[in-house]
Amino acid sequence: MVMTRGNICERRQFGVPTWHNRWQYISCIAILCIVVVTSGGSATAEPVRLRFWAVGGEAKLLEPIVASFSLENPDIRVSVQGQSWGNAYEKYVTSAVGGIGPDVAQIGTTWMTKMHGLHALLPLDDRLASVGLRPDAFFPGPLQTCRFDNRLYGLPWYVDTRLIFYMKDALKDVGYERFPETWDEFVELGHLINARKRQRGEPGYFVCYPLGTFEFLTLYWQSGGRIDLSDPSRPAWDERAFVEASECMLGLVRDGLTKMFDDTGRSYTTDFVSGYAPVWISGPWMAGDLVKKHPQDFDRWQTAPMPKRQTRTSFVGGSDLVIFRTTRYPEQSLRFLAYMMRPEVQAAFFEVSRDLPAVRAAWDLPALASDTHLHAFKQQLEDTCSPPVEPEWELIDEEFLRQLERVLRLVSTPREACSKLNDKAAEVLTRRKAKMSPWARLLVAAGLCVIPLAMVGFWIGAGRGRAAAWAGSWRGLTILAGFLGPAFMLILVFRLLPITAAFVTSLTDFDAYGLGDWRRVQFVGLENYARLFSDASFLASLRNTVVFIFIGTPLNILIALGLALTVEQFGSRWRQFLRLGFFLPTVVTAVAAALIFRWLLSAESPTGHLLAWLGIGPVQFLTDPTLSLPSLIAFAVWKGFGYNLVIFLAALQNVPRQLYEVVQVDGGGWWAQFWHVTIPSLRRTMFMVFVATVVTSSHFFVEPYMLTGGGPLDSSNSLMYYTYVQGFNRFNLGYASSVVYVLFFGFCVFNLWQRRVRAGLEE
Amino acid sequence: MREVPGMRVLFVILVMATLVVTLLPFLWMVGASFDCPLIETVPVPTPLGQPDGWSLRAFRELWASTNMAVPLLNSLIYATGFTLAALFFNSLAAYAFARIAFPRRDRIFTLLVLTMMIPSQVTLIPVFLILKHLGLLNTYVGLIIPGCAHVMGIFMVRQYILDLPDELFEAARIDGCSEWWIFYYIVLPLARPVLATLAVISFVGAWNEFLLPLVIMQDESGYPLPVALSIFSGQSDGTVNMIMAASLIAALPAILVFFIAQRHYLRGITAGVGK
Repeated sequence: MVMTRGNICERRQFGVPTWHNRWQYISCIAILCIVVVTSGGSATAEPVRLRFWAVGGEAKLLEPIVASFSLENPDIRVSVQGQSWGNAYEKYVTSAVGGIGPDVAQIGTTWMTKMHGLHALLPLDDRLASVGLRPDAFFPGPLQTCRFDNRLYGLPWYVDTRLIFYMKDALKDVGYERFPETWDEFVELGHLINARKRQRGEPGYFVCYPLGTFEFLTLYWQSGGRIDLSDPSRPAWDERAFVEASECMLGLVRDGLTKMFDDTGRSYTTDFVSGYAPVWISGPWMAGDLVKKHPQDFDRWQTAPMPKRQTRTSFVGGSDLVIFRTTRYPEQSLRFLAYMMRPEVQAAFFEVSRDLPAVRAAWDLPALASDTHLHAFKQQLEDTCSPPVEPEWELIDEEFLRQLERVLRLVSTPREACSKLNDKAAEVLTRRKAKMSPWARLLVAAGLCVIPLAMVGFWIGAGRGRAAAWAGSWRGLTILAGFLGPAFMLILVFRLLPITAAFVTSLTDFDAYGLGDWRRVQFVGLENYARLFSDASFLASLRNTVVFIFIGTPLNILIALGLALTVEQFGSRWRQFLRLGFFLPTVVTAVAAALIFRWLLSAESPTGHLLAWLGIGPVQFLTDPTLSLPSLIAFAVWKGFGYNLVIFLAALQNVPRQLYEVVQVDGGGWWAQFWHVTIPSLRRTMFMVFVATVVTSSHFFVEPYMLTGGGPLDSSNSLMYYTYVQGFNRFNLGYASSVVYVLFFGFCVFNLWQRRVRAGLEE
Repeated sequence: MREVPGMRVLFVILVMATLVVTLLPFLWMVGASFDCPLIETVPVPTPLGQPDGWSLRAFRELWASTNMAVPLLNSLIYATGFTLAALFFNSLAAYAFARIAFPRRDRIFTLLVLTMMIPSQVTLIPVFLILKHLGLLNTYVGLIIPGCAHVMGIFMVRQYILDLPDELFEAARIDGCSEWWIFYYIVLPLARPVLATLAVISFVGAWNEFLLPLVIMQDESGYPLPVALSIFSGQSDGTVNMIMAASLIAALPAILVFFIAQRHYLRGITAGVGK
């Protein structure tokens, strides 16, 4: 698999190379024991329990390190709790909002802004000296991800940067001993290698250069560009650097030095070592994968820093360690942090996890210094940059992704894209600067809240009341309160109140920072709703939801009805057995079902083997934009049709036998029976099933959530999933609520229509 | 429909083929969790391998690497508590909506039914904040009460109570019985079938719930099975066999409850059909 799309790489940013063996464990423990013996420990009374959240595979690898920390500090016990990358972010934000966070946590560098915005993190500047830590012990780029308003809110733990991987023999072949230092030489080398490939009739091309946002930013920084979000009146993006960076990327594609989409069906490391693409821009995980999958080629490849344009800047990511503000043990947490940042501990952790240490001194220890593949990483880490830390970046980033895609697909010129991007940035930044909105705006918003509530109240008030003998009496009221009260209170608090709150929220710009400090929330009237219809992701998810309803519902009903009619023919014992079998998928936890499906749709499963056996190459069911939605529909139909089947079977039982006999007496065959008896008798049930299935289909959420994450390119996004992403991943609560209310208005229309149809059927 | 001559064989083949396709994912899941060797090597999808290839290795490794007993216990407590609460709240409210006359009853009920259209993901964050202010985050109570009084349940039980003969209630009222007496001595015994249905549906629903516990339960020691399963599979160090074994453990209890109480479960679904 050649990865040339940025999003794949972005996801792999945190990829955990599980590359460890017994010897590494032993050496790690040995080093730690030495640390313990030399530093000695002091015993105190009751040990304090520190809660440490780690994400991904790191949690498991931390055990020996944490254990030796406790040996050294008998007064502290650290319990590590693992989170998965898939939902760690939600957990972190909710725990910050709920004030129930851990003491120490590992946080991806890109989440730092939000966690800081929620006032979740403890500032560390004044405390560092007390445990002997100095900021200049760290690489400068990663440290920048922890710095807000010139204060440190965390420390870089391990880092991740992008640089060059190359096959030595491919370079020697065209007369290069070392990897080129400058961009011009880099391109020249590319042409030489491509020419050599053509000459020999070999497949492939010079470099796998993922054309994603990180790689573009790298080129942009190398052109001397900076993203300046401090002043909305100045353009945020430097047009010259933007155009230059775009030209670099487009030039690589135009000259055939790289390819935009390429799926070879092989693993990416094979594509590399076989010389199909002998140069790669990639991250530390690639070193781990190469060692694991191609140990015999260990000496054939090497790494190099980015070629120099104005600078050699590369992208930096990774994870930081932070202390939550809510911790009860700031002093102990800090000691733990200081321990994790010791060069020996960093090196020991590198040996088990292959995560690159953020502390400079760790790189001089034998574990790292002895590996020549790592030297380039150290060099590169001295010159790295990361995306802006301002909270507005997230909104600009979305637009950036869109514009970059337009540039790469040659839909718009770099200059146009840059000016669009600057307009967007100015708009976002101006909104930040806006003062509290005028009273008129507030009044309109209040009106918008009150009118629907008043309408609901009026509608209920206008209903015909049933005269009750006890109406108004205390006894009657207590009885009513006794029966209805408990459930009604719960529904009021956990249903009606949240629903109303969501509606009010949809009229505001409530976001994560509003959760931290509600005074930042402003009424914006119907602005969210207006924004929806120029939001490409919203329109894509609306379209997908409609497709899901219009394809999924009929498919579901047809399969259920067809099977019900067939199963009806069987004897009652068989009928029961079949009913159970078909119903089974609906009872299974969606999480488990999705895990089974994810496995079944991968190349390593029986389905994959079957397709390979039939001569059909690996099919990317979930990562191909044209197949992702159909795959999800198939999953949903599989999981859902049993429900409708059971309903149809029950309805068929109620069809009067005599009707069939009447048709038979009249000389009608099975078709006439089906058409004149079965279908008319099932009409009401079919309609009921149809309505219920449409409602469930429109809520379609679990499928993209568990299987595709809405991607690729929004091809499997749904309204509910988009709401969830906006509301829960990005915490744009106002905007997310407006998405739901669009759906709800749709429902109201659907509801009116179905009532009318139902009334027609009743007659 | 009357039997069609000559079609029977076709029907049997058709239905069996569909059944196999429907159940294949389960068979594979079982095969993978018991280490059936054919799964990995043979290109043709054969769900059942030779018995000598079967082993409990995946389960042993799973047990060694994660403690599945804690989430299993959590799920049991959560689902049982949820079921009991759902029975209590919904049956009381259903009786009020079915048999106690009060002003605007039908409109209020319609309003409640309408709120069913709004999916729970929307209200997740407000619910989270409300629970935070009530100090119920990270507790079983916080997990149970947001969902246990649900309109679906009220609707189902109310429908059943409405179908009981009016004379029963009139006679009891003429005899001077209080509403509580009627509820306890007449409605509850008569409505036992529908309450069983409600119980089964609530149990399976709570057992499978994912999003709410993920958010409410912040501490690992409180995770129910679906959350633990998702985190386990996300930590990527389990083999396919281990993940499938864990999925099997998570799926099995719900399937078992369904098998034992399928009569009640299916009646709940088909309530209102053909009337």
